[in-house]
Amino acid sequence: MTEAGRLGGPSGVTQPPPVVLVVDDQPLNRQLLRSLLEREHYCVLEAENGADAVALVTSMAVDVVLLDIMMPTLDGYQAAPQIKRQAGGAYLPIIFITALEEQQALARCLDVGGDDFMPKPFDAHILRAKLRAHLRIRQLMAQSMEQTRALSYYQRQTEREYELVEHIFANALQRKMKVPTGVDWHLSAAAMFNGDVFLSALSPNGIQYFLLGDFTGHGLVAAVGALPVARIFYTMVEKNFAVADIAREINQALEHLLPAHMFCAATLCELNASAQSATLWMGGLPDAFLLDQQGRVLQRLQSRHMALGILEDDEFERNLVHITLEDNARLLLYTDGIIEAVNEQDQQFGEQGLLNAMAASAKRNSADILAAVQAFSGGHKQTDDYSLVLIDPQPQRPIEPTIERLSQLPLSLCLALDAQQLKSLDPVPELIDQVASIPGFRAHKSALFILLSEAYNNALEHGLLALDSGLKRSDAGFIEYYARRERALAQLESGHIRLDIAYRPTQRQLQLTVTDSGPGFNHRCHRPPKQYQGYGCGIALLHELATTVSYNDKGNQVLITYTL
Amino acid sequence: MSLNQHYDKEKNTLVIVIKDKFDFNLVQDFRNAYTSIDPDARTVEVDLRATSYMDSSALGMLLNMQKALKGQIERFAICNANAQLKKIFQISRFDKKFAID
Repeated sequence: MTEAGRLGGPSGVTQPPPVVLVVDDQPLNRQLLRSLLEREHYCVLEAENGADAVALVTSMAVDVVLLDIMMPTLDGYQAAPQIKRQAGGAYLPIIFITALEEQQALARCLDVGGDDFMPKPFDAHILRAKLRAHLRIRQLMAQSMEQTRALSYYQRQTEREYELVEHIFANALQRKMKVPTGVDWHLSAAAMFNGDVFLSALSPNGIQYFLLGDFTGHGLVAAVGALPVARIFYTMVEKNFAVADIAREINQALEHLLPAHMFCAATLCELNASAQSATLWMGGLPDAFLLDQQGRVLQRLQSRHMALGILEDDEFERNLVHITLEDNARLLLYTDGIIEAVNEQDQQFGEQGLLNAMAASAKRNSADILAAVQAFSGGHKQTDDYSLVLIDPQPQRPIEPTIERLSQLPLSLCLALDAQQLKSLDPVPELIDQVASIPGFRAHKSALFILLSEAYNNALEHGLLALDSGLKRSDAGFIEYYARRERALAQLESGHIRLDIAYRPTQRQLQLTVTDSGPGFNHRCHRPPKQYQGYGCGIALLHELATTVSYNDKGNQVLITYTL
Repeated sequence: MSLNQHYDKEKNTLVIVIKDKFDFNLVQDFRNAYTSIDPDARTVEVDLRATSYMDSSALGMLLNMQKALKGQIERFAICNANAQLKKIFQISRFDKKFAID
């Protein structure tokens, strides 16, 4: 502001006059110039030599320098570059005062940083014109510098914000979840943010999930949609949901969130834990391929649906592509940026280009393909995101529940259920949920469920309801057995079942005791069967899972110990 | 609904998906899921991705299904079960009659 005001020109009354530094060793010349300039309302500073001039430029605000050549201490040629250095990036005009005959000297004046000449003897009109011209340039330069400064400030601010948002995105798109092995992928952004997104995760049951998505457009706006996609994907993978369910949920979220012209073409893929089959929900991405190790096409997989975020929830279609994975088959997914990459002749890389690149040699990886795309497009500017995923399916182990430290608190729990409660309650799942909440028990939940449900159901079905297991030998009998169970239970008038659960941390043992009020049964005849017949597998499994299984003499109480 | 089924025509596969508990409460539903199976079906998949536990009657149901359909169905599979359930199938030697993955 002050700079611009000061440069307003000598005629302006309210603005401070521009400052002219006159550098000459001849007092007479300085005097002459001073009176000439003051008449034009300039503010004049004087220096006797180059050294003084450099010092003055450093300490005072000078707008233009009139510089003599021949001076003691530091002559004009030497002083000019030093003065220019002091001015930094600002335009500080140096006008050399020259005698007309010094033609040779003129070129040198420009070489050392001079901007103009002022021939002696001085002509007031010429001097005024030259000063005005240079001051105008100085003002324009100052404005331009201010704009540049403001621009680079905004640029730095935007960059800082982008970095911050990128950091948030990186965190949102990557969870601390185990990822499947055998996946080679590449995402390259046309802008700082990716309009493409690739997510992969392994579910607790060992199911392998992948999502490749391509939002309309690219950059920040396109990337915003990736946040809800990632959140839904990871949350649902954690619960082993099917890909069609995940796609549907994402579709609903994007349809709600994005404006009508924005959507996300995507393929969601799930591989089973043994990597023998794959299921894909394909919406709007170019055809995927199942290839052999040499890159030959085994199967073309076509998109069947509209992209995510377009259809209303009730229009959503779940149809899936199921594939059986032969040994060493590879799955290739990509977004249209790859096949639409163009060369200088405006030809597209194309699907054939991609397949040729895959088949150029065995076991091509994403870097090979990307190199092929880049070699094809030459120096041509990348206009869309290039994304490519190559999956070499590998069997994955289900994730074992993390081993927790076993609780050291001894615990016991007992409950007795009368006939009314036995009719209306299903106590086993709730009890097991409670027991599984003891630290260290989670990994044993399924086994404990089997043990307790077996003991409880035996007590109820045989002890109280006197049902005959023999019925279960046939398919129809199996159904009949459970139909009778339902009828008998509805008619139950008396009797009770008592459940005792005791945990002994020192022995790492859980003891389950189930007692019924029935007449008991002859357990000695009840041997664990060798073969797993449908009806007998409960008892046999009991013996396999439990450490000990014993009955009281009466046969109305079973005691099971289970080692944790 | 704790049991869903769908038939995949392309793969000639009946898929039965069981949610949460696989226990005696499903005896009738489970049987209904395969009694009117498509005559072209060659595979039955029981998807346990959403099953947290089962009781021994579930094993009985699976074996009954296998017995009832073995003339027609070439492959019985139990898919996407969690580690604990897989262990139970292993202990029960189910891998002799079912593909467990």
